Amino acid sequence: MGTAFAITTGAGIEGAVALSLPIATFALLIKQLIYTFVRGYFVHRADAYALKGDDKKVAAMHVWSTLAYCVPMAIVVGICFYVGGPVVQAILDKVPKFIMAGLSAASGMLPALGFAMLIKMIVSKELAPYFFIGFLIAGYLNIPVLGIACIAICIAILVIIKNGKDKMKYVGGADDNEF
Amino acid sequence: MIMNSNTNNAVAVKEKKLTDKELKSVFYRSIAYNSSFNYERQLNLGWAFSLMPVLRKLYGDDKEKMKKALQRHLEFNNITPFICTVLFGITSAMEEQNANDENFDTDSINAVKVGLMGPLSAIGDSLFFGTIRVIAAGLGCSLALKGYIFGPFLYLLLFNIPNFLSRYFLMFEGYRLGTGFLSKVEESGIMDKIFKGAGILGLMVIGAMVATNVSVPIKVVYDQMSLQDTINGIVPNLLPLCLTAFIYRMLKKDVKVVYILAFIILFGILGAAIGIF
Repeated sequence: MGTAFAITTGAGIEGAVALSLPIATFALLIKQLIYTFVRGYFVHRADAYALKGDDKKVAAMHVWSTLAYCVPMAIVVGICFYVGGPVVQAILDKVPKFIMAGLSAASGMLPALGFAMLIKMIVSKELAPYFFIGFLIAGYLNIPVLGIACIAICIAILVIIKNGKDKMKYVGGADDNEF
Repeated sequence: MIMNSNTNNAVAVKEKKLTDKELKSVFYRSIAYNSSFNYERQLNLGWAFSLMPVLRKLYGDDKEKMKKALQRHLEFNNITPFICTVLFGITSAMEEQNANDENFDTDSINAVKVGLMGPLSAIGDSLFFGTIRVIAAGLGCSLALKGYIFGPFLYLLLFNIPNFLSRYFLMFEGYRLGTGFLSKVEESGIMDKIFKGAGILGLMVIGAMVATNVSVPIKVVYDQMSLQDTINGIVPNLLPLCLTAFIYRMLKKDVKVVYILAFIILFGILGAAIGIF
């Protein structure tokens, strides 16, 4: 957007950025909405098709989900460029602040859903403590995820070696409400 | 190599084998892997889309297995796209094993996938975003500033040649790694332990990601003390943990994912309306 304004108005880099900033904010709002609602919808359509075993439709959901962002975005940005930055700013001022703030808060919380689904898939009574070990190291020691993964590999190896000596058999899938 | 596993079972089922054709097809599809990012499960649609040639080859004649496979590959997914094919390769090898071995623990596929996603992304991000992009942009910009139109193109070339090379070769390397590893594991009969190990790795990484990737941005101030800081003073990232635990409970009670999703968004907007966020 900044590039387009820089070329058409000849306003220089700073002027062009100032002109394009409201449009960027507006586009970000639209992006948040599409990433959350529209694409969420396609994910759930894909879930439904997966239950039926319809591989073609599942793949199609990816294509639709891609288009559902690219096409509206191209149109929105095109129109915004046509009407200009100040008009977009005026529209933006009419959107209640709490909607923007709420969506951004929700986008911070949504990954928790993905992680909870993964936990449900893997967790068993025996393995639950490892989740908390990972969580606590990350929080207290501020070790990045890569470091924690390396530690996890070491722990996994230690546990496997110990289990080999005990000749214990791992029984998976025995998960309960231990979380 | 995988032949070993089935001769023991003495079941005369036709061995399903992936060929270069499927793997190449996954490579081409992986170019569009990160085009359908969503907030809920991130790159899951792109993942399922890219892996489709493998799934079709292995489960094309078995509707029930196809259903299971599709569900398993629509779970949360996100890995640096430039190196995503290494995970596609490993997953393909595991799926191949699964298609040929009745006793294969299908949960291990996702456990391995999740376990590797985080660490691989950390490597991929630092290599591509942190190193190659910086070098490419530096050289491209310096040329462009001198007025050469070739500058931006140089940037694109310098970034994308390593990108496509790494995607292409990692696909086959990942697959080779996966099959070699699996056959070794099968021979010595330590599969159960590997599943457990992958579970430990996966859960620890998820635990770390809950702490780093989930945010509950409350900004309530009480007696000039930020509530967020106070809570983090008790246990860091306690709120993301509580949120994840709460969602986990709901999932255990078979609450539909759509409802949980709607709840989170409404919670965010209502929270912002009354000034929590």
